[in-house]
Amino acid sequence: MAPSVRFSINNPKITHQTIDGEVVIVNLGTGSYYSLDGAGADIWNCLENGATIGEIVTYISQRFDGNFGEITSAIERLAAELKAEGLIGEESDDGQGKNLEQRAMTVDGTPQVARKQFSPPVLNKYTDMQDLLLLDPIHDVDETGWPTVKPDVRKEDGNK
Amino acid sequence: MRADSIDRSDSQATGVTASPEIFFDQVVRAFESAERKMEGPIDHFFKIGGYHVRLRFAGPALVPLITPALQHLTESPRAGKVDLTVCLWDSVSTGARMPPPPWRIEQNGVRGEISGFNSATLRTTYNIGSGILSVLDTSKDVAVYWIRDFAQLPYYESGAPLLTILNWWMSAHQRRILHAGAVGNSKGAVLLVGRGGSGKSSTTLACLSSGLLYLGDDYCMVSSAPIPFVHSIFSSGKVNAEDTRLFPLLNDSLSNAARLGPEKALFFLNARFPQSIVSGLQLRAFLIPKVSGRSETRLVKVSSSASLLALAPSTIFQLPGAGHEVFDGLIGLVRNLPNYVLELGTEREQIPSVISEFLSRR
Repeated sequence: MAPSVRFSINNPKITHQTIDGEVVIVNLGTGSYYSLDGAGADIWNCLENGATIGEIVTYISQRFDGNFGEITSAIERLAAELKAEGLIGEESDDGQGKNLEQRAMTVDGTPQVARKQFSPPVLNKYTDMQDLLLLDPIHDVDETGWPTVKPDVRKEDGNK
Repeated sequence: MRADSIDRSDSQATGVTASPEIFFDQVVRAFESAERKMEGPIDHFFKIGGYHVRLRFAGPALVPLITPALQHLTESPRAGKVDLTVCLWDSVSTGARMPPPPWRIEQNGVRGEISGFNSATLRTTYNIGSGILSVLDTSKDVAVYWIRDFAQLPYYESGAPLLTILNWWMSAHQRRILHAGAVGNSKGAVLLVGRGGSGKSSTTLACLSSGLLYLGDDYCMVSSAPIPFVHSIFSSGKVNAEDTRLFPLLNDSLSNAARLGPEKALFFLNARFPQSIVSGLQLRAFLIPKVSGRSETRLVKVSSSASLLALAPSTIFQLPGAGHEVFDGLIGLVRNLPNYVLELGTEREQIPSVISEFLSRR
């Protein structure tokens, strides 16, 4: 993956929030949701702020103790996984990147803190909400023009 | 897709102009036609989240299917201001037709939202699974709720009626409906959060006869100002059919004994436990129930992100139109209140005691 590659969050289908160093990500289109913590949360927030892969590698290397090559491949792997899940999309590098210190300051609004040991981030995926979505409703149209689910495929909504 | 980009030929084919405003007016007129056929409205009034809500039924068919879960919030007929009016009807019992939908099937979103028929003031969903149309005009504080045949209303809708409309309207009034149960005492309430099957309902129902107060097992409403507060919406409860044996005191409240198995057990609790059901309490903490397999029940402190993960996705996916604002509404609450995993023990009588002792220390 080229260092100049930049991603953006696939809004509006993706909604997310960071709290206490953990990110919760919801894909409104598929019913899947995700969590990321540790370096993964930092990487996500860098991606959201428009950092390139190269900038993210530098940023994470400044904040975490770890092998540079391992950090690079872990970031590229996570970015590819996030893209494959439809959570982010690739952007062309528009050259608007800030210098790393500025970006480091903007990721969480605070200066760099004590370095932590780098662990390859794990994207936790949850699919238990998918049954709540009408992803492929098999339906008839009644005499009034309104669609109805065929009785043999009608099911109770998952949690209701 | 915006309303003005809807294919006009489709709308002409249906005979309905594809505008959300015009569709809303047509739906209201169809309701008024149903109401005239049934010789006037049947009104029921409720105070929900501090707001006065009028349910205006065209005919009696839907009344016993919609009102039991709201019974604890009943108020006297109001001559004064009503904050929200919901018009409810079905075509089979009233003989009044609903105009056909002016959208294509592809515009029906995965949570029932109709693309092109939702704007700053107008909301439209049609849930194909339940067959329920919900529309709301927030500028008029008027909503319409329709199903083709009242007899086809899903039983779970009776347990949590009008959820979509209430969520829309309350969201604009500093109230947020959450997929959560709640119980409490004079010191306040805890919100029980987690996906379906996590133990919310069995925990809240286990508390019902323990002296704790009940605010709901599956959906509650919260507000954050001036203090964090839980508002009860539904005085119903629902458990898997095989779990009814755990709640013998609820036998009299079971509404669907003949249909257990295909349906979960649905209880309407207000008649049997009127003193135990309250309309609201100060919110004190978030609890995430988890079955532990151990005998004892205990609380284990967790991060606020654990509550957010347990609560936000399940709320977002259960409420059409809900999105990032759910996160926005929750973030302050889970940050500022304590968060715990409630490890559920096999000695079930301990569950309400642990919650009660926790609240008593607040």
